Amino acid sequence: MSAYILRRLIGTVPVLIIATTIAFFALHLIPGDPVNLMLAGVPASIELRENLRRQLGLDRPLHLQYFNFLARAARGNLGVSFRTRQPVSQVIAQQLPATLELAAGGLLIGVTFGMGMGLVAGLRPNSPVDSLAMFIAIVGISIPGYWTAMLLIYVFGLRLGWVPIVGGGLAALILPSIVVGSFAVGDIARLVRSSIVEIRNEDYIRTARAKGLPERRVILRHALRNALIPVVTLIGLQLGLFVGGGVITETVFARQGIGKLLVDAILEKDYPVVQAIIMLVTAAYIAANFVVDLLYAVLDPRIRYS
Amino acid sequence: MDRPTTRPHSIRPAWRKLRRNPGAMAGAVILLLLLLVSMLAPLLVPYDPTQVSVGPPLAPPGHRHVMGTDRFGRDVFSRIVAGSRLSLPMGLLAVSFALIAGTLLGLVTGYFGGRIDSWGSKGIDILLGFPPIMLALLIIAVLGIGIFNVIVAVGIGGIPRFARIVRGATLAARENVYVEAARAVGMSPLRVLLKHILPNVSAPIIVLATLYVGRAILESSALGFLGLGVQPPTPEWGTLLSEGREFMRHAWWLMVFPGLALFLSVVSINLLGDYLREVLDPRLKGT
Amino acid sequence: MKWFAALILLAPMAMMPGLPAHGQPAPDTVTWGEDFELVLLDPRVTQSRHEAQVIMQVFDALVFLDTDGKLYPWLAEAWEHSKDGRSITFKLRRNVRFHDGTPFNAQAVKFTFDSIVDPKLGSQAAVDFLGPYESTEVIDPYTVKVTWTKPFAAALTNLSNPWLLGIVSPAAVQRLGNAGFATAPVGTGPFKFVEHVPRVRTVLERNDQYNWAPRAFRHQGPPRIRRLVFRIIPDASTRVAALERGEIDVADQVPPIDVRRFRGTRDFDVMVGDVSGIPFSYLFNTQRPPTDDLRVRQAFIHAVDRAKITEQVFFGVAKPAYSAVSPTTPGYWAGAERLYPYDPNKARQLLEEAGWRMGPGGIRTKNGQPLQIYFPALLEPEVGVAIQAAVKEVGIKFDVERVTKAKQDELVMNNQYEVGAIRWVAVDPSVLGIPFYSRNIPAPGKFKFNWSRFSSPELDRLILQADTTIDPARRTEILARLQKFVLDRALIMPIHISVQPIGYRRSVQGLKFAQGFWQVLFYEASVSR
Repeated sequence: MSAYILRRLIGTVPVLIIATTIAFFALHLIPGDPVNLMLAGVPASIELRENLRRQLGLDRPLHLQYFNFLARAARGNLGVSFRTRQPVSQVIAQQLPATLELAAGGLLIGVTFGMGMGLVAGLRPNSPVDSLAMFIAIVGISIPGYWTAMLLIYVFGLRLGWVPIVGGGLAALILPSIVVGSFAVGDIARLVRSSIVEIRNEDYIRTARAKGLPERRVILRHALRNALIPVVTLIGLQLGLFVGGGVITETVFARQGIGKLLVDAILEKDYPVVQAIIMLVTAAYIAANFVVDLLYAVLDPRIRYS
Repeated sequence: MDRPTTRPHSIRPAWRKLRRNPGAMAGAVILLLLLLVSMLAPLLVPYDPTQVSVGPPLAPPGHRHVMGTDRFGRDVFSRIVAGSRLSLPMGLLAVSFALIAGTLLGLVTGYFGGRIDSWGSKGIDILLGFPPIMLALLIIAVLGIGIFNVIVAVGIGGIPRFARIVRGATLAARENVYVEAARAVGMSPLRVLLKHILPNVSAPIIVLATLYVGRAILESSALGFLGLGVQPPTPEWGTLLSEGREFMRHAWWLMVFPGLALFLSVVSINLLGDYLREVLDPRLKGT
Repeated sequence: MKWFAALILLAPMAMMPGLPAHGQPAPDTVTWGEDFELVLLDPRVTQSRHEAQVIMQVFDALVFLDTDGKLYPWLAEAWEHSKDGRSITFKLRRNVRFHDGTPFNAQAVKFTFDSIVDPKLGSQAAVDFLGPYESTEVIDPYTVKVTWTKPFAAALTNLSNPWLLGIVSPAAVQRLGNAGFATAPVGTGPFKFVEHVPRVRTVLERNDQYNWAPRAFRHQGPPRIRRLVFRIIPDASTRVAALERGEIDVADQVPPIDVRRFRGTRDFDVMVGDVSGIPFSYLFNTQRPPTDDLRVRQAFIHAVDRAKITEQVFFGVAKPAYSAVSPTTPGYWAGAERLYPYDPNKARQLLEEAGWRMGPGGIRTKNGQPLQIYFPALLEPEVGVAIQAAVKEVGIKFDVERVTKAKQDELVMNNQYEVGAIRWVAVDPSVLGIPFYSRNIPAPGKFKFNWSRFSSPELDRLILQADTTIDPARRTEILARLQKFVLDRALIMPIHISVQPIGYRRSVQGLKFAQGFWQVLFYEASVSR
């Protein structure tokens, strides 16, 4: 098992390098000069701009800039933000907690309500409960997130005043989490429902029932466990959505976060920040996939890694 | 029949199934209406959608303006109807783009295998994990703001999904007796792909397409919402929503109606999509 | 299992009621909702008027310029111009201390100015505002003589600006380095720096030693409030909502439509500043067709009812602009208001004279080309939309394209636009050099603001004269000629005066606009609960 883990870890390196390379060169395709962008609206002299360019290492040829970046990144130095001159690792560290909070909130809501509804619907197919749950689910995957966000802010923030407009803390996390999690709720609910409906008629479930085990135990121990596998896959895939869904949600709710940081950094051609975020997101995705694969082994005894 | 393909069942049982499924019926009706509206838009708009001051600015819904007016006194209903000609096709075109490019990629990597597959799969995996909005942002930053660029950005985001599914189906289909025979006989790879592999992968492609259209519409309107889509004064639902957000407290109709239009479009497509998937193969789950 | 189902579906509703609405702010703290991220808090370096909002509370300047144009002693008690007009000698105030306890003296002034012109610092704005700086001489610990290479008319105005030429603590700069100082500034101002969390908030605290406020203020001595918190809320509707809910006390840049709602209510009010400097205007590219034709430019201006559009787009909060500087700027030429009245018929006539005949779709053509004017819009696209509709009436196709800043900059440098939008917050009319001086024509690699790309020795001469004439009456006359020059040639179409609507709770009193009507001074602020 440990050999497997090691192999997986080593396998992530080329993926990370490819991702960052693509990002690096894509950034240079964007029109605009970062120095001019930084000195936005300022009648700065040519010498000042050249000076700044030299300071940021932008005057060296492209491939040299790239190798320097890689070399520094390997040592853990992600460079310095063009805009704020703060070390990039610090900039990201400041914004990351808010995004993680939001992703966790969205995940929590998505998984609990998604699984809950899917379970209930799957156990009673074609009942009114099933219809209601599936209706909610399809609304969840069809509704534009930023619209939900706006409506929620309008009703609960402005009209009723039940949640704060700005500020951190748990209360301010509720509405954004609902928005981020709403797509996941729908997706997961539908998936769980169809998994359970299928599995109910599988042989080994019938066997368990025939053995006289109580229905609840049958479902929870056997059916649910196997329904979890595709769900876990889904969550792994959804992770990208959670971080990405954060971009819009962060904008509408005026929150901090990696998403908003990325948007600003792209618009201002703050290369180091964009590259670092891309590396981070890719690494997170790989890690999530890895955890998902490990969970498979736990959930399905037939799967073993060597 | 020798070909182990999944073909859609014949029409009559499919139609009967539709009538028994209220959700799908509703979806079909709504979608049909929307498509009609979209096609007949120029005839249906009571006012020129880009004409300013046809009414007082920020007027609430009333007789003369069923959905109110915006800050420039433009009729909201006309703008939403006109917007259907953008928001819906943008999503459809993006899916087509993803479908074509993704299928090609999937076919090539699945069929030829080896190093092509190895590198291709890595590329697909990377793109797959990346949050679609971030990817779209990067692409828009490179290409610039505009409708066509939004289609490309959303389309590129969808390629890995199609490529993955097609690759998997291609790998399976490659083992098919017919394919081996064709290759032994010396048929060119292109013909093999077109005659034998493609028909076998068409079902999963259609399934994925039905799942993805709704998402594509939402994603392209999200870019419009962020101001990266159309140019003023062109109406597009996502852009209309961002205008609505600015005046949320003063003109709720600017926020409600464009969002409703988007929601109805996507929900009807999803309802129909569910039904289509059942018809194609009741056992297919899809992700 | 039914209970389980019910629980899942009803759970969200059970969570909602009973959540606290918002906390009560502390009675001696004022929270300001800032609309832009704050990065560099060093007056010598920054060019952002948003960062200026914080800097102005932390730093003092040599002299104080009030919004009515009067000059008061501040860190300098008295000053005297030299005979040749190239130097000013300042007598400095004694018993002033920086927040770190070190004394304010002539050495600090010299250090500040010399460091600004040092390229290693990377000053983005102060270096230009210091003008043709030559040197600062320490005559004795409390007397300092500043010399320029030629007479600098804007000298005292610029030196009155704490967010550009405020005096910094040399000891702190030496201790923290330039980079460190930018995130932990030390000055002599009524508030001292406490903390800065990027993208979230900046906190300042009362300077209990403060005793040297300019006489323009009735209050003297330390400020009344103890804490000043700047919360970053870039989104306008969120900011307004936060004000309504009491999560902030004062909001920056309140949208015009909300101004009407807040005005004269029981709990809130709005103070609106008409910003000085260059109003929001379009510059016409004289090097590209069709805007290279004077008649086309003039027709464009005549075709736009600026008063009506401003009223419409800004819900009556902003006023239309007619000259290259706004009325609150010294040297404003009122004659500009009569030059280009709204006259669509005159516009049509001019276009006909220029050879543009009405063509298909209501757009004029000449030699088979449509009358199309391209505007890469970064700023205020909604104004562009309104103007687009207006000029269509006379047959002009005004192509408004929303672009990112990067794209706009590229287009500007590569001469690929016909109209560019500009606005500039400034206290002194020397700001006119920025869009009109011939050396400021952009080129690839050179991002400057003469977007009309007009170059003439006469115009340059007028600008230089205005910059070096110390006598106010003479200077006003030259400035009037300068404004008439650029308006006659339709290089610029002023549209509306920029406004700074500040929304605040009535319990907060004593807010005062700084010079230029953009930033707010909190020195006299107090909270009554």
